[in-house]
Amino acid sequence: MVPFEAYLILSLVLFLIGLFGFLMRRNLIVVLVSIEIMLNAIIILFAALSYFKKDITGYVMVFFIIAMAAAEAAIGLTLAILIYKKLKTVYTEEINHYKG
Amino acid sequence: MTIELNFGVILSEILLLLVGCFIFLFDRFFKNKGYAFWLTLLSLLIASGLLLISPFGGFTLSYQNDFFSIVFKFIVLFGIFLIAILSKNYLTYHSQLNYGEYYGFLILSLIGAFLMLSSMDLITMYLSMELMSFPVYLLIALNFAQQRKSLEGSFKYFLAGAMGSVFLLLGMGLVYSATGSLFFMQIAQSLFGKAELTYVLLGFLFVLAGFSVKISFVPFHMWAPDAYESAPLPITSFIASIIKFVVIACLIKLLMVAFIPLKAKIGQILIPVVLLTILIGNVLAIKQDHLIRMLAFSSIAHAGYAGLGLITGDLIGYSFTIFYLLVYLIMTIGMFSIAVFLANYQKDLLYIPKLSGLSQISPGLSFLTLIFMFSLAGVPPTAGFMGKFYLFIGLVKSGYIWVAILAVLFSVIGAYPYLRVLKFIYMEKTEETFSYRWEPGVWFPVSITAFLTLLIGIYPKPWVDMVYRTLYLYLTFLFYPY
Repeated sequence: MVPFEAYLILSLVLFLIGLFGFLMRRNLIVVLVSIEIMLNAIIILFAALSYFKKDITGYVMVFFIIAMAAAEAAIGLTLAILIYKKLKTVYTEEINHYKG
Repeated sequence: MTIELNFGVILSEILLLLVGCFIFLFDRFFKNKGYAFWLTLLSLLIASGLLLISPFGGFTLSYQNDFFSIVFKFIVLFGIFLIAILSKNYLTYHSQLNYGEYYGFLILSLIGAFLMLSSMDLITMYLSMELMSFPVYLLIALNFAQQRKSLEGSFKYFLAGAMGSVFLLLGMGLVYSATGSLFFMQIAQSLFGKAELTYVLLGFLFVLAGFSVKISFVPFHMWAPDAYESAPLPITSFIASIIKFVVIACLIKLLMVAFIPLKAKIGQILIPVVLLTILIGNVLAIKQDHLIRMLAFSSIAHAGYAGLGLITGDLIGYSFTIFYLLVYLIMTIGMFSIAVFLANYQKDLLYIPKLSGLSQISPGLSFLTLIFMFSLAGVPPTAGFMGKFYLFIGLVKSGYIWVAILAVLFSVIGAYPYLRVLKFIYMEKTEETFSYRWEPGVWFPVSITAFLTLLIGIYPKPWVDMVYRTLYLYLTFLFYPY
């Protein structure tokens, strides 16, 4: 049987990969993918917690997170497509009308 | 524990949901887009009536109607009522945005605010926070019809919000692993029992980070000016006033009900965050030339002032925080309705140097601006002064004198940007003239908010008492039911 720590480490590694991508990558689509990776890391965390605690709340949370991730991806992709159509770019360093 | 499906308590949410779905489904069939405004206004009035008759109680375990949620829902309804009237006026002048979906998104966001105010469960709280903020991203992006770069502000807000919700979920995972539940009451029970406090503290810090994105506390404030400038003006006032009000009210609920043993420690942690928020908001507001950007930085600073009440970690401090947010809601809606009036007349007027000599052209408008600017800066006969006064008195009484002194010093810096606007309005000369006419869409929100600003400034006691008694009765009925 796989111990709890293995799931925890997997979740942590995925979260850090997502965070790194979110902060470092310059393509809007890759940034959205990084957010999804972070959400998946949290899904793994909740599922593992729920399995090892013999408690149902974590599983419920997993389904809600999947739904919210879908909604978030929908809105993010909508905005990305609009930005590509109107501003003709998908790279963050070229979208700089506002200075901080 | 029994689960009740008591539909009487969620009547107002059901009504608003139906109206929102109706607008989205049937908007194409209406040629005259004015219907959406009247439908929204009517449904807001009926929703306030339904709130009055709806009984206290729970809908399942994760939704509860009580003193806290009912009173604050009324405040939110009042704010959104004014914002809807303002939107009508704004949309008649900016007809590229005039679609039913605008009001539909506003109503969906309002449902999220309502659910968040009465959530008793971290899952419901998270879902309703997302429901409150998703429509706002789209509302900001709607503005690309006039101003292409507003997409950038919307995307920044979206990325910040997504990051915040990821942190919130991570914090919920930590809290769940330490306490074994996501219900507020059961978290509190297990915290008084044997749960390890350090894990829960770490989890709560992540939850706080998720909330800070929405309230724009300092490490997460960079989205605010861009999103504020790119949004349509009534939506800007919605983000600045109502979302902050609801999120801080929910944070206070978390501190009062779920994480009771951590209250004092959280207050200690918040001291540098709050002081930095006030300082950075005020300092960066100084050199802004765009009125909306200036108000955005000032709104960061005001979130910091409101956070001062969380430091002491007692009921009085919390009630002062909510009172300050109520005052801020009133005065920021008033200020933005004046901005809507200026933007309707001429887009340039939102640049502060262009305002010079406004007092010669329209003394009444200038006087109202004076009231709101004094209130934002905290000059005595206005509500903003009373809010700050109560917060500082609360800090001094509970021994945090140095925090109070620093906050007063920072608020002296913060008075400069507001007085600069007044200097341009009253002390500069201009040759321009314009004929303006007062319309009910601007006149109504401005006069009500100006009246309330002066009234609360002169006689604040009943309002503070209302907020304090709400929190007190809420806690009493929650922990000792009958």
